[in-house]
Amino acid sequence: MKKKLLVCAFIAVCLSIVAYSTTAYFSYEDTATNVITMGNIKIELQELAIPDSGGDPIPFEDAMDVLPGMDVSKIVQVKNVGVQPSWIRVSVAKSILLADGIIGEVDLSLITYDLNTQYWIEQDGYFYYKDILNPGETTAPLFTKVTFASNMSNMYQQSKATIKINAQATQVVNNGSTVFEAVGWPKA
Amino acid sequence: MKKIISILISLLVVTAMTCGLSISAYAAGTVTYSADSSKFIFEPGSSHSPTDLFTEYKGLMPGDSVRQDITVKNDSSYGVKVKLYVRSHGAHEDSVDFLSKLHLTIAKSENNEMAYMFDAAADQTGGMTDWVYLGTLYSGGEVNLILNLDIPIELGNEYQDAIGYIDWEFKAEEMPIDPDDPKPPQTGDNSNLYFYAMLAGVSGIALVILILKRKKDTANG
Repeated sequence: MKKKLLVCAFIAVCLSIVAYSTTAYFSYEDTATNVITMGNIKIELQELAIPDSGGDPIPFEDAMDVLPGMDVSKIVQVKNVGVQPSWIRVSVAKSILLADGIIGEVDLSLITYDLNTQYWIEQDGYFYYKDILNPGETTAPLFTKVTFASNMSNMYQQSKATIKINAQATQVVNNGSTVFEAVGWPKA
Repeated sequence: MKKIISILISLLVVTAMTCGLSISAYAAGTVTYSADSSKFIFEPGSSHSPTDLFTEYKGLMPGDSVRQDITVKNDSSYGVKVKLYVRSHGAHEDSVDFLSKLHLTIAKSENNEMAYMFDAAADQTGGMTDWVYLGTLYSGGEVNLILNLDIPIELGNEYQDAIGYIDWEFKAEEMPIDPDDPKPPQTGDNSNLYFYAMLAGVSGIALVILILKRKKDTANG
C-alpha cells in the first residue's frame, strides 16, 4: 500500500513538474505580410506641330492638301512618364499610297525630315537618343518638320503619305553605360 | 600648452562619441515584441500592407541586387526573456509566378558572422518552413536579419509593376529570468561591443588625465 502511495505521489510530482514547465511561459504569434514590387519603364511619344498662325506647339493633326516643296510642321519627341531613367530609340517608317488607279514605283526619298543629329544617332534602322532620359524629362526633337520635295511629279497627286513613328525604351539601371550597350529593347 | 592638451583631449572624446553614434545606411524593417501589450509591432508598413517589413524592395528593376535589414527586438519593459522564432508561409498564390523568378537569401547576423537561414527562390518557404529560432532576447535585446534579393536581368516586360506578397509568422515565448541567467543581460546584439568598450576606455582615460591635470594646476597655484 505504501508503495502504491509512493508511486501515486511520484506521478503527482511528475505531473506538477510537467504542468509547471508548460505554464512557465506564454507564447504569442503574429504574421507580417511583406511586399516586393517591380518598377516600370513608361514613355509617351509626342507628335506636335506649330500652327500656321505661329505660337506654341499643339498636338499634330494630319496635314491635308500638301503640295510639292511644302514643309509640314511635325515635332517628334519622347517624354519619360515613368519613375525610372530610360534609354530611348525611335524608328521612322515612311510610306506613300498612290491614288486609286495610279500605278508607279514610289520614291520615298522625296519625303525628308530635318533630323536632329546632335542628339539622335542612326544605327540598325533606329534613331538612338544618346543621353539618359530621366523621369519627367523630354528628349530634344527627333525632327521638327517634314519636307515634300519640289520635284514630286503628278503621279503623287491625291496620294497619301504616312510617317509611322515607333518609340521604344529600356532601363538604364544595370543596363550598359551608353544607349548602344543597352539590351532588353521591346520586340518590334 | 595645458590648454592645447585639454582641447586635444576634449576633441578626442567628442570624436570618439561621434563615431559611436554613426548609424547604418540601410532602412531597416523592424519587428518589435512587447510583453507589456502581448503583441508584435511590424514597422514601417507600406501602402500595400500595414505589416510590410521590406522597405527596400519597392520599384525594383531587372538586374538589381538589393539588401534589406530587419531588426527583431524585445521591447518589454519588465524583466522577461523572450525566445523568438520565425517561419515563412511562402508567397501568396497569385504571387508565386513572379516571386519564383527572384532569388532571396536570409541570414542572421551572429557574433559578426552570417548564419544563413534561407537561400532559395523568393516564393519558397525553404529553410523557414518550420520555426527557425532567432535567439533568446532580454528586455532591450535585438537580433538582426540581413536579406539579399536578386532580380534576374532577363526578367521580361510582363513583370513590370508586378507585386509579390510573402507571409512571415513570428512567435515569442516569454520566459521568466532565472537567477543563473548571465549578467549583465545579453541583448543578442554583439555588434560593436569591442568598439564601445574601447570608446569607454578612451573616455575614461581622458577624464582621468583632465582631473589629474586640474589637480596639478590647483596645487601649483
